[in-house]
Amino acid sequence: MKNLKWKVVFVLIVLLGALYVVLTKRINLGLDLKGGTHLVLQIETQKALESETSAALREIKRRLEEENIPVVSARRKGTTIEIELLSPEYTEKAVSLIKDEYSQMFSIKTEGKKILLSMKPSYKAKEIDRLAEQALETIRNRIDQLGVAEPVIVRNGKDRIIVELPGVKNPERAKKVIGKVANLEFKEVIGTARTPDELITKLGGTLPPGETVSVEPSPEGPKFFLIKNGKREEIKVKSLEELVEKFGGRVPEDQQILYQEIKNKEGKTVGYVFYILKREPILTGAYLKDAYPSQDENGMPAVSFVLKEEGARIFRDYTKTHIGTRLAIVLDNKVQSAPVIRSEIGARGQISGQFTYQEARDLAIVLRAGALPAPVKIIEETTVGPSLGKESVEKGIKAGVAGIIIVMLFMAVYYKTAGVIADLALLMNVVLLWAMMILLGATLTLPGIAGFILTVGMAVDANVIIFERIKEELRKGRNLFSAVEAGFARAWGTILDANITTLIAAAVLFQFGTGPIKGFAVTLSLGILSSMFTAVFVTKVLLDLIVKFKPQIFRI
Amino acid sequence: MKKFDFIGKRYIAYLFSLTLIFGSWFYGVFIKGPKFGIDFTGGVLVQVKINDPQVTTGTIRELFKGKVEGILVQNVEGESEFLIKAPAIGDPNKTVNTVRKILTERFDGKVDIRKVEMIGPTVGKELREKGIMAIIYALLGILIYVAWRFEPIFAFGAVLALIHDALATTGIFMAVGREFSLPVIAALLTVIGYSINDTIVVYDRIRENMKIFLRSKPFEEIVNESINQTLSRTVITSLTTLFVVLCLYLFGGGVINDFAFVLLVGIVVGTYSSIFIASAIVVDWYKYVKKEK
Repeated sequence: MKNLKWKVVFVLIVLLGALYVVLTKRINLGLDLKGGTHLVLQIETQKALESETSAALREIKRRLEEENIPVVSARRKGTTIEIELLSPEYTEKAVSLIKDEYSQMFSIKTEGKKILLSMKPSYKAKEIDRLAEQALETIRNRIDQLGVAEPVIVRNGKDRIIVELPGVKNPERAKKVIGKVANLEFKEVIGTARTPDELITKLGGTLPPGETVSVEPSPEGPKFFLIKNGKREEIKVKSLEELVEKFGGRVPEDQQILYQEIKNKEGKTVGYVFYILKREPILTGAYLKDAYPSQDENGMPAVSFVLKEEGARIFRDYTKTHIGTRLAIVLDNKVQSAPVIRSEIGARGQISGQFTYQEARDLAIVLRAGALPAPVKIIEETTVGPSLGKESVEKGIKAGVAGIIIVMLFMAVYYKTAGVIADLALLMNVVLLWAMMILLGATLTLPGIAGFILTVGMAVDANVIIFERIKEELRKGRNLFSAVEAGFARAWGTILDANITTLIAAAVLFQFGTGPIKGFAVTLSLGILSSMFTAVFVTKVLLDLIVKFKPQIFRI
Repeated sequence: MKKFDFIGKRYIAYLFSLTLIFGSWFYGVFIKGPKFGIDFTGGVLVQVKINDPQVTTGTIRELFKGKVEGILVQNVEGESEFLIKAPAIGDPNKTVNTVRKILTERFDGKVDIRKVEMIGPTVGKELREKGIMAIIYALLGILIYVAWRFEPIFAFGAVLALIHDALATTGIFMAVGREFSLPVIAALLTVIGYSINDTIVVYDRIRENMKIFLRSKPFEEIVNESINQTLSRTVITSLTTLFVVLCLYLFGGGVINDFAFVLLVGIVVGTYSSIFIASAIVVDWYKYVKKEK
């Protein structure tokens, strides 16, 4: 008797607590319900690792040359390097030289006069982790600058980042700002060319008489065509260096070719200018202190920047000794502009390059936030407009309310008094589940709403099992009190087993799912837990109360 | 109380199940052709509302002609809402960009882009593999738990019944020409979770009755009686769950509709298999493999 009193108090406290939470706090809505953009970014770490290998290769070659070790060939393939020396007698010296600097990065194998370097998996793993952390930090900075309220930016697996932007109005712009590498470099200009032919001849190549190379713009960059006897044939090359080499030209190891896009008034690319540049940059975006949108001398949108102290010193020293030469401002391997240095330049400079106002503003944002350590690719996007989210919520509520009413009516008609008790427990289950989701900070998604509603249908299961047992016991001729006791005792094991197996399925679902599906798994699992409490414990308390005080109204 | 001879009719049930599974899969795979949503193939899906009664699927198709490859336009719910689908050819990011741009330029002010989904082809492949693995893991987990709580043969029967449910539901889903998506896989897992629930309740009763009638009744009879004793519970729980799922099916709209359809079919199939298949397999095991009565 006393026991029952405490149980009633306990149930009331839980109910009031849950009601308090439900009435005072709001549940987190998923992006599919409140509207917004969900992005999954893949960091292209392989590219970063490959360019790191390329840099190592250049450095190793320089070193070997310095030590007068004759190299026949040195090539990179993915993240491995193959070096062939003139003869095996140099191998030992070359290996010890490479080991000094690169024993952390590469494992070294030799085979006569050949040396094979392959990037160590441990180094790769560490590097990928570093790249991902840095990319995460950079993207966080950029999104902060975009002014999105309550963004979520988290790592997913080893080389992915999930970005959630609630209520973003212009997802295309956000995608651009997030995805831009923004690698800013200042490089010394060695030569320029207006046409591919000029570029090839400048680098020592020759074109057969009567043949010319023409260039056409495309969204992927310049496309080259060989024109011979009035016929056009596309030349497929991966880089401008490859094009030059095809015609017998050679680009020195410490130089590279990049292009600048020439745009018309509508901002469409109509042509290119080619630049032969020193590969090693004078300065990079890492030395930037600030960047902001501005206007150039013609009143066109531009981006002004301020260098950090060290960068300003390097810049001043360089420009002082290079007056009259051209300096290329390179962004993501595209030349933006290449002004002639007219006087010593200090901490301040400007990038102009046929930007629109919006582009200049966004460029300032990404430059301020810093460059991404590797290119990122958006591999998944879900954008839900606010109107659809609202409609989903409305539909969900409609389906939920209809479902609850039908189940409650059915239970009350079929199980009479006991059914009404089950209905009360069901209502409490709804409140409790809602409160649990709020307290755990779970996110309600559209499938989550479905899970919620489904739980309502399944929650009465425990009651059905118990009531059927009680009926059976009553049929066997037991009195009401002992039938209720036996019914509960016998049903408990069944309920436990049945629910645990369902929980197993829900747990797998949680592991497997992303975003909305995870929301479903969470609601389903919590629903099973809370329904075990309400359908078993709360129902028992209510039944006990009736059996004790008003057994005459009990019908089942 | 009236008693049904479920176990006696088990061979008819086996035949029915095999026909259902093979028939629906044959029809679904070879005649209808299974359909996979962009979750699994990669691609772009744009749901758009255009407030202009003149606009039809044809207008939109015309609009993208030559600009986006392999585009598909469908009309949804009423007159003014459309689904635009494009496969993952080239860079799907660009496709999204193009579709957005063309729509906003052409229907300036009248267009409401309600939803945009873009899934890269690699992600699609991953999700496909993960979805299948999830179902296998769920089955394994259940197998181990049931084997531990009951006897291994019960676990075997339960899992076979679950595979039956998954196959039959998938078959019917394909046969009616619906499209697989992530929520559909989630629904299949839920069906598995629901169906095992039913089976466990029956098994529990069999275990209990085995203790009471040990050696006094043949196993077949014990099983049949257990199914009968739990029958009203099985039916009532299925009914209450079906009620809510039916509400989801009718009012949930869009994504939820496919999800609810799987649950509707799955609950009916799962209830049937808990009665006719899961326990019958255990009976046959004892009868033919262990040669016990």
